[in-house]
Amino acid sequence: MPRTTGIGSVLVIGSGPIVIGQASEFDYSGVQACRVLREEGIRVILANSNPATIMTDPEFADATYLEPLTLDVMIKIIDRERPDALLPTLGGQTALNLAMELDASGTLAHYGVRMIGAKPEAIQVAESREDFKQLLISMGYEQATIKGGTAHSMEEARGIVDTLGFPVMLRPSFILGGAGTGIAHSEEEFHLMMEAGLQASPVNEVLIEESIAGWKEFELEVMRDANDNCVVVCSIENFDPMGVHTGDSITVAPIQTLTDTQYQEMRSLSFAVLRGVGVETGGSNVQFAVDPATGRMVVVEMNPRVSRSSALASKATGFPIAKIATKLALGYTLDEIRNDITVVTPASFEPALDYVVVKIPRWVFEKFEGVPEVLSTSMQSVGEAMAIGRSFAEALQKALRSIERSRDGLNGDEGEQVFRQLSDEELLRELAIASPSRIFLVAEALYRGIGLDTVHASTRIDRWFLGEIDRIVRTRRWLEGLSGDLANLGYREMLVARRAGFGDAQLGYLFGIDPSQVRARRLALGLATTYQSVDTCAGEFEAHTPYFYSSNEESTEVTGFDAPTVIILGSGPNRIGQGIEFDYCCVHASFALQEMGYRTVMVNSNPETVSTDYDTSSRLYMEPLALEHVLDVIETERAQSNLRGVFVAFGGQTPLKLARHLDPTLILGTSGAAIDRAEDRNLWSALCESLGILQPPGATVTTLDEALEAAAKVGYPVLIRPSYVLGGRAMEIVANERDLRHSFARLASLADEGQISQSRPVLIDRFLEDAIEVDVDAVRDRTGEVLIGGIMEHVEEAGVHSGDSACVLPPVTLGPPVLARVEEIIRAVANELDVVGLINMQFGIQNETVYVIEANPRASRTVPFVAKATGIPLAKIAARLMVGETLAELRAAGVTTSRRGSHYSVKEAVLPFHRFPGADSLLGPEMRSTGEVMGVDSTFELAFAKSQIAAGTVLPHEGMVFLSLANRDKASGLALARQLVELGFQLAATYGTAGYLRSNQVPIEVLVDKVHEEQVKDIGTARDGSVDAVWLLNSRQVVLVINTPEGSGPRVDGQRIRASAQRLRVPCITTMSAALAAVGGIRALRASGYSVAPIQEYHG
Amino acid sequence: MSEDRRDSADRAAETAGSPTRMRGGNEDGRSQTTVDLGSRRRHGWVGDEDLATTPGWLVLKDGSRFSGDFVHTRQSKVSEPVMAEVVFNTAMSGYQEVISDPSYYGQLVCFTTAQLGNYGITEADFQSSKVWVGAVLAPRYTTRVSNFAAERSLLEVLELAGVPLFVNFDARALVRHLRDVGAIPGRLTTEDPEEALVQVRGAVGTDGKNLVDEVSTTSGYTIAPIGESHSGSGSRLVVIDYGIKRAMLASLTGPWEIMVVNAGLGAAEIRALDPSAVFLSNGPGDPGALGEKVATIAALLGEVPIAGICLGHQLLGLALGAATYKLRFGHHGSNHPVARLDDRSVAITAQNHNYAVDEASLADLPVRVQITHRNLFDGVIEGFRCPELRALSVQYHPEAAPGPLEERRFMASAIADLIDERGNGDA
Repeated sequence: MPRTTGIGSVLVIGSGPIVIGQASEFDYSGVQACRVLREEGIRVILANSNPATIMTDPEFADATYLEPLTLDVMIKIIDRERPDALLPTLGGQTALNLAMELDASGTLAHYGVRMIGAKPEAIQVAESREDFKQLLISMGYEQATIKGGTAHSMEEARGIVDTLGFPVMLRPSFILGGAGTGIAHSEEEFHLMMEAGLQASPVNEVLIEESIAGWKEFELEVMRDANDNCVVVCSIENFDPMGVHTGDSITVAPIQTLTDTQYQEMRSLSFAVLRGVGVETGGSNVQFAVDPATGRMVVVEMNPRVSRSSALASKATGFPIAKIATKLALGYTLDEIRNDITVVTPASFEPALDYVVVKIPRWVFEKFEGVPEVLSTSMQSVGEAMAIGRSFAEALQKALRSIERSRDGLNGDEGEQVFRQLSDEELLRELAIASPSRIFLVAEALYRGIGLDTVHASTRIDRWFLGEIDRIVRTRRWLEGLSGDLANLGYREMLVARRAGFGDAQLGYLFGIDPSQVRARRLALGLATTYQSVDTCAGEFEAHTPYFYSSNEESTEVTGFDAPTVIILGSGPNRIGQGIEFDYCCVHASFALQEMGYRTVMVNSNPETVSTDYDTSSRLYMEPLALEHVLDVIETERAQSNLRGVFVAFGGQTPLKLARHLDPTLILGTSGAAIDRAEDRNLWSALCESLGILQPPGATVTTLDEALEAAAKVGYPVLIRPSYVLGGRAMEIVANERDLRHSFARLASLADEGQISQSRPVLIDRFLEDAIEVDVDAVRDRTGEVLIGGIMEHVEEAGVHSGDSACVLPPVTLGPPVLARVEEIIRAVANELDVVGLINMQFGIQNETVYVIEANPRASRTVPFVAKATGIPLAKIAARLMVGETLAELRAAGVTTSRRGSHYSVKEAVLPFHRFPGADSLLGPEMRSTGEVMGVDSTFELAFAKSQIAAGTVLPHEGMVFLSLANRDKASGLALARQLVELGFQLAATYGTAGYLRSNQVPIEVLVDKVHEEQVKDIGTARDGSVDAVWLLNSRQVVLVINTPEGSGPRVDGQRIRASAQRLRVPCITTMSAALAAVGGIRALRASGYSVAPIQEYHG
Repeated sequence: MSEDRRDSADRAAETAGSPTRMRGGNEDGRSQTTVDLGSRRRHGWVGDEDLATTPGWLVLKDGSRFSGDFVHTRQSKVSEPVMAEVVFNTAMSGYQEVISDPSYYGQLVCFTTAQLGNYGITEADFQSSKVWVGAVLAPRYTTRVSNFAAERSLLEVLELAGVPLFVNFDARALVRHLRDVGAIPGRLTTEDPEEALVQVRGAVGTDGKNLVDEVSTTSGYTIAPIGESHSGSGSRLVVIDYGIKRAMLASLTGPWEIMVVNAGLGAAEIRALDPSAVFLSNGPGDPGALGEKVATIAALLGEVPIAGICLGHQLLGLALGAATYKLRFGHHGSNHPVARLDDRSVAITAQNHNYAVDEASLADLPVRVQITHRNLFDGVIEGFRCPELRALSVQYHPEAAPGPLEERRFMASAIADLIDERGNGDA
């Protein structure tokens, strides 16, 4: 079937900021979609608020709208662009919801925009659990449905639960990533969860069902074309049984424990679901639960769009679901589309895997104090890593290395000691709880001889998986018996160990020797790592797209490149502080070098990303970013290809940590020694001193006593931070000695957990109060020329982590002398460090004095934002400089021209607090945001307002604003309050704030008692007429909360207010500068509204 | 399937609960003992086996060799060397269906899926009463068996049948080699690989071998009609068993009586059964070695509607006067796209064949033959029909087992159509 006619332009909606449940996978799918559409000669109009994505690079679309993803904005874009069609299936739930709103509002009909890839009716059925269930029943699959019903009120809910009995599963409708879902075991839990669920669902609908927790869980990634041809691209089995969100589960592909009969029944059922729902073209994901005792199979849900699982499935099989889905949406059929990997076969087939894929989520509970590390049906992980092996054991151990939790595998490393110390009783108790550690607890239990059946009974993990883990455990025991002497590791022993997934580091630990000795012995035995290709066909046809994983076989499939080759080390799983921005940089480095005629070799373990698309680099290794695997790749490429070197500067801390162990002559760009000079406090201080650069006074300490002494010397408050961390891990501002002691105790326990390094020193600096923080990204070439990419002024004052702070480019309050000094410093530092490539520096400006906070001679989180704001492709330029080009040459080629016009760009952070109800939403020096959005407009105020809307903060036009300000903020709060009143807002304020404002003639409507009482009082019950803060918020009169807490340490002050605001989704601003910017934004929106424009116009 | 079906001696009914008789043995003519699959029926899962491994070799006729391990229980020892053609199968599930498929008779079958044996053996999924493959090769063997339906482990069943299980070798390298050189004989052994090479150099593949007579039913049996009666009722479908699978028989059930007969029956004997239609089953080996069978089909063509699959498809082609040829490495898997040329729909199909009908030879036939199906991987003819003679066949396995189910009822409805066309001449 040829392409549908009449589609000359398509609007693609992206998924917006990275949030839990919606991450880089939608950049990957969006990039593929844009590529396909442009190859077809279609004009691509793209809407996405996330500047860190590859898809929003100006060359991927004809018109790129870095604008908030709201209905209002979409209508403006459609009005401007008049697209022929809307493709909503590649931007996650965000895009699908927007498309539904556009349809429901009549916009699509009004502008004659055709929805392709999914029909509104199909989306409706798939998204509404009740409709979906009724559909299954009407198709004769009642047995395949879960018993239960939907409720829109507590009364309805009660009726349903009476017939089902406890436990029951609750799921609010139309929600993202499973927020608000959970199992209620008792009346009490049921009541609380129902209330939250009814609120979380935009349609106030909650599904109540029989609990199928503990059942086996499966997913099929399915595609259908316009000719009704269906294929299963990938089958996935969850290691964790039902009860843990699939995004938080360890998952395995292909399915391991179903007979062909059972699998084919599931496959046929998935096709029936697709047809029944009415997914005419494209990819869908169908989830199943299977009763392990009887085999009864139920359909849990289906997503009529590309998903996180489909990104995983694409990487697991080599079948590019998003790309194919886009072609199908255009009317092509599967048999008309070529399989890129084999070239000779069509896309209408089902990939055959001859390997096992394991995905493990990456959690960041450590960032959210007070949140228990318990997994449930609401997703909490922020990233994932994938590994491929010739067996489950090999893949599992590699995946455990890939998630970068300081583990070298399942066991046989330092990290296992934590679990070894548990008593059997503790072990069994913890085993019963789904947690990030459970996989290690399982191994420990089996190691101790706690029977497989016992482990199964408490975890419900399928015995097949437990058996394979047991194989690893038994291999480890056997290795212990050999461990007296390395000579005991002969060829066969080494091979058996390797095939059970044991790496050099684990064997080194077990034999008490350095991993390098194991490595040397292994290579001497002739057991160099081999590589197999991911070819979609289990070897049946020759593969043309080089996508590899390591193995321990006799043959290897990698063939060398004659052209100059560069290895790029990626950034591994997304986590807070190291996410899509670094993948963006790696991808740009790869693109830039390929444009120059180089071959690029990408090493990464993150299946969500564009970097692990086999189209991105000349060769892709899906491998852990662990030393032994990186060394294997380097040795292979060195032997086979014309290897010029390795890029370690683009992937964040992960490759930098590896850099020191690599051959220094291979490191391209800034040297490892220079990186160390910037990281090592003493060397860095000496450097600053020699260049006459001011730093906040500080010291480097390793003990508490030293810390106390140093803090006394520089004066409180002090900022403390461990070295070699990203995202401000464990960074704190402490106001006094008591807090400092507390903070050190915490650092010690983190070091014990292996989350920060034991041996690295801690930095103590005087905290610059009320300073303006500035971030700069620049590049320098080998001749010493420096190009400033962009100078960003933070909206929040110093003390809030730069990753969590909004920032504006260009700066709005800094004068020319300050900016000149900033530029002067960055040139001096870059020259002194002999930087070749990127450098990021952070400054604190206190009373016009410029202090340097830190310098990082590598890619930073802000590089993509700077590129989007200015049009300068900073990462690409850096990559070219790192292989020897000069800025003069690039200037001549027109690459470095800044196309920045007179617009303002604001980057705002997106925080995941609603996922972690126990955590305080107060911003601080430890980064906790998962993603970012960008607002662009002609004024700072409008750009800021757009960034707030894009981040999901509804800036109110009217209503009551609740103020609770720290003493130091009261003066500036007065101006803020006056503006609010002027804009027609009513004010509520806590005692102190109200008193100050009233004494300055600002009317306060409601007086709020902020006392830390647990009891909620009714209005008017207090003698003075004050109301309780939580009561006030619950009454839903408040549209905005401005709460700046007292002091600057980790305080609980105001936490109840913030927690309530978070629960009720009332915007809550915690710094005065952000509040002032927000009010400016409200004023600007009121005055003129806003318009939309593509960045291609801003860049001119 | 109906209750009055009479089981032949070596082809047991899979009636639930009754023990299935399994007969060991393969082309080397080893063990002919029968074993009882049902007696150790367990629920839930089958426990860890007392596994042992013994290093060994797979040596191919062209001299390439692969080092791996034979897996066996501690009590048993590695079986004698086996020597046969080596093929690979890319299906990710369905090893029990494959090992019990007579079409694989004697072959050394390498499964490409990473780990084999995970879900054990379920009697109901067996496709015949015995293990027909000469050996099972796979990258790795499972540690545990886990499936609610599992009754035994794969290893137990293979050991009872005297069929070796060879793993822990570079199976992917083997597949890539076979992809390049085609299916060739190999020898699995614990002996010195040099010695093995001497042995295997003399081996011949399946070319020119009549394997069908060794797998066909000896006494025949019938299956009663099912379903509501319509124009087809009262009719009789004669199934010529070249090595049929249970799933095929199940998928053929319809308003007709099914009479399964020995592959050696002549045209007169078949005529005497008064068939409404004749079905030609799948089976092992080279169609070129089955001249008598081709003659039988040729004699019946035009008299009675004929339908076939796989080997039956190739034999029908030969009977029409076309030629067959050997594919380089055959089609063995569950993921082959086959296009129906009339409506361009594509089915994902199960495949298992090394030979195919030569397209050019179909052009010069005295009767008109329409190509109806084509493999989208390599263009091989996957089906044709001859309306004039009321005959049609497909190369793939519509019955699946293992494989996708979308074509499962294809043959029964095609046969019903053929019977309905009686006397109408053309379609």
